[in-house]
Amino acid sequence: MSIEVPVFYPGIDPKGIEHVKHEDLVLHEVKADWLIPLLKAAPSTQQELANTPLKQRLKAISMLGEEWLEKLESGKLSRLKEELARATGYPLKLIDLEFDFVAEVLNQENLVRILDVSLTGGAESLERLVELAPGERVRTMPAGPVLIIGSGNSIIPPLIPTTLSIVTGNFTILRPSITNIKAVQEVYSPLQNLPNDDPLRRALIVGYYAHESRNLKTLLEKAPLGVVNYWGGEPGRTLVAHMLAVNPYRPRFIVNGPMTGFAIIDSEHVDQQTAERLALEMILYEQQLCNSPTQAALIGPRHEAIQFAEMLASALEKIGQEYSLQSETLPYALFVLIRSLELAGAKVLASTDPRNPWTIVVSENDSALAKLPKDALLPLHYRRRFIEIVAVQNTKEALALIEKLPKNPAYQGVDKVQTIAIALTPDKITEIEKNLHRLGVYRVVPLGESYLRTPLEPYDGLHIPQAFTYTVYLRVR
Amino acid sequence: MASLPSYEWLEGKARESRFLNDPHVTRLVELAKDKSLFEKSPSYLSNLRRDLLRSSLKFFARNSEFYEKLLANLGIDPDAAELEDLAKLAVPSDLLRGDGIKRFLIPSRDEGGFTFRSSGTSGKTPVRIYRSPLELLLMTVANANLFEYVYGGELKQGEGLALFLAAEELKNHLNFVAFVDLALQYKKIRLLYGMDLVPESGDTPLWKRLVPNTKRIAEFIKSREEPKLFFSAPAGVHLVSQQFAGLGLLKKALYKLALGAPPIDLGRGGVIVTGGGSKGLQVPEYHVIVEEARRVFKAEDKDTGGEVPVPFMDVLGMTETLTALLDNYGVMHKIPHPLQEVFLLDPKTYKPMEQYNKDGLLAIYDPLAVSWLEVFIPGDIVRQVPSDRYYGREFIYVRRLTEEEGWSLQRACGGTLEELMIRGGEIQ
Repeated sequence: MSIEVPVFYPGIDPKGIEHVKHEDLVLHEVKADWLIPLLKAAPSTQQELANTPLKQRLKAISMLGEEWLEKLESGKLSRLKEELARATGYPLKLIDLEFDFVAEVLNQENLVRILDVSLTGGAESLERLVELAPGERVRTMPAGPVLIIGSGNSIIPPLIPTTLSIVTGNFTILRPSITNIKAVQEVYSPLQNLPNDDPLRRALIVGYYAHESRNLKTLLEKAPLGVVNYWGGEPGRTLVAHMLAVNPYRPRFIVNGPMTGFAIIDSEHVDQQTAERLALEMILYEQQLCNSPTQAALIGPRHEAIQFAEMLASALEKIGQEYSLQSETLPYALFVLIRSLELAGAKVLASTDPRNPWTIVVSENDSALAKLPKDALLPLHYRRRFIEIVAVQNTKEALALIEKLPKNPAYQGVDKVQTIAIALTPDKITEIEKNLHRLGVYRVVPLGESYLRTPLEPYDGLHIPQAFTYTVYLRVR
Repeated sequence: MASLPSYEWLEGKARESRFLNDPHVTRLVELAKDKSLFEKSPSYLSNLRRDLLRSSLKFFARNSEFYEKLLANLGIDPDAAELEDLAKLAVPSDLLRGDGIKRFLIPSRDEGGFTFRSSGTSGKTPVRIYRSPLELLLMTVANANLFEYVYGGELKQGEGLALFLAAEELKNHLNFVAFVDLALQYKKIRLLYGMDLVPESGDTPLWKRLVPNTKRIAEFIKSREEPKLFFSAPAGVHLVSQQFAGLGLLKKALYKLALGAPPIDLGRGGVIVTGGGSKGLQVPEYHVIVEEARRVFKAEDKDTGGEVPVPFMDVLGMTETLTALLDNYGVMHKIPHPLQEVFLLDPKTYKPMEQYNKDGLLAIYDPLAVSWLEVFIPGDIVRQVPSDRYYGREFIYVRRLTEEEGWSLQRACGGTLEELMIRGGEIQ
């Protein structure tokens, strides 16, 4: 039986939909020739949005969060949670946690803080000219229409850019992943209850396009888009870039590529608390976030790394059971990888419980994974609750591992390290600060907090509202 | 060495082995020849294999720094090693692709041997396994002894005739063919190859270049020598059965006049030996192949001379195995050589599994291999059942691990033989 994947857009015309068969799904794709005229008219919708007081925009978004919480508390989202847990392979408890976070993303106070820190002239500049210096004023304008191509399993990542795109006044098209589309559409569904004349009601389309979609290709090559924000890696990234290269409207191409996290721990922090923090980071989202630590350096001798690995094993055993998976079998490919590591001389501690399949590899000086034959490797995407701890002698060697990581065959497809999670003494933190220019990382945070973001944090080195807007400067005298 | 050496050459070359002074290896040489092992009790053999495991681990540790470190790293004490330790050492065969075997070979191994390679039909780099002359000799003798046990009697030197429905060149590629070729040389039984390879053109793979050699097939069918041993992939047996069963009356009469068949008389002690199993290819179930063949082939009991349904034996072997597992249809399930440790891993946790009648992941340890510690996981699901024979257990082949289970290995060599006769999934 086919499953229908509808489009969310209150003003959708059935004639604008093409039904595309995709495996066992029937995708409702918005036809490019229906959408392009809508995009051409988007500047007027964007102007309407820009004329809508920011407070009103934020209130509408906040309302989405409130309605979401209501549905969550009344149990209306239980089925959706179960479906998402099944589709992603994530534990139900994690989906619970993520659903709780949704309202935070839509919280208007948080949004104002993001806008204030991101935009020249602050949040205020979205609705009027703001004077920066006598006679010098700025106004932030939407750069859209914005097309966001999301990937990944969890629902929070596509919500952040989409919400910021709408709030900054953009007509927005979100193409999420096939896994999370239903949940994302559910989040924005109250928009359809806004009055017909409210531009926010007409500001967002959430629909799926298959990778090889003709409609998507036409949109990328011909549609009057202002910004395309792509979340994901190869080969999609390059394909999209090629298509955009011929688009006569020259949209901005903002890429949030695949990255990973790296933990650094020193001898002074070899303790149960640090182990528990790392364990939690490994279990949350099964390390599928760009900030989840997947490799760690322990500054200290090998025996200390083994000692820490044992503490980590016990923490993973405990926390992992709270977030147990549905799986009944350990993947054979994981078994092959573990055996290969052991044959290569690495110390491996691993769970035999398929519902909590953690793995810790302890190596010395360099990554043991990097030296394995290609046939033994398991792509990062499939390595869940899996970490390699490399015992190194000093901070310099730990940082060298971060620099080398993109070339490690076990990290094929990963651009670089996004987040360093640290449990270090102040002198070592200073050394990291001194070397930031050559590491290329975007974040350094305390171990255990990689998955947390404050509203002040940029995304991969860039404040998203900046990507979706442009600043008009006025000096008339 | 590009071609499989002859048994005679191997005998001479094996005598030059540098390990013949090593007590562990000399013991293996004696045990490989020892037919009395097939009369021992399961517990006797189990203890013997544990002793061999321990002395084998010591042999490898003293001959290779790699193994010395590996055992230390895995916390295995050779003097106290048990089956659980073998499970820790088992190498998934995917790791033996390309030059994967190199790191496992001991530096002081005997040179001048032969390297077997899998067909590479999976699209992946083939598995390659080096065998020293001494190992090839032990392999031949041990397999021949196992064959005779499962066959139910001794193959007398120089008596009988064999046909292998394959081209001779395949003995240089596929273990199953090499096993048979060397074992029959050892027993001095003449072997005919029922197929030829047409000359190579461009990149045409080996399996697309096979054509039947009707002259040799006819010679086998017409021969009055006994016993007649017919070796083939199950698909080959099916093909021959179909061809003869589908003959019209006139053609049947003509064939009868020219060849004396059908039925094809394998004579006293005649047997059909297959290798591989169906492996999901479009050939009938094994029992159907047997039933079909028994309508076309006939044989007589080796002792009484009375007509019997044609005996069927099946070989489970792969590039990595030094000795195979054999069965005799309706008589016994697959049984290993008494020295080979066959154990199962739980396919959910990869821990050793001892239960009967439950699917497990096959793992094999063969102490007769002395160039590398031969403990490996070929990628097959089997089931073990209790047995009152020497091994105490017998094995039933269930299936190959699927891609979904993360498996991407080559097929067992018998399966490859089947592919040689298949175009686009249909038997030609």
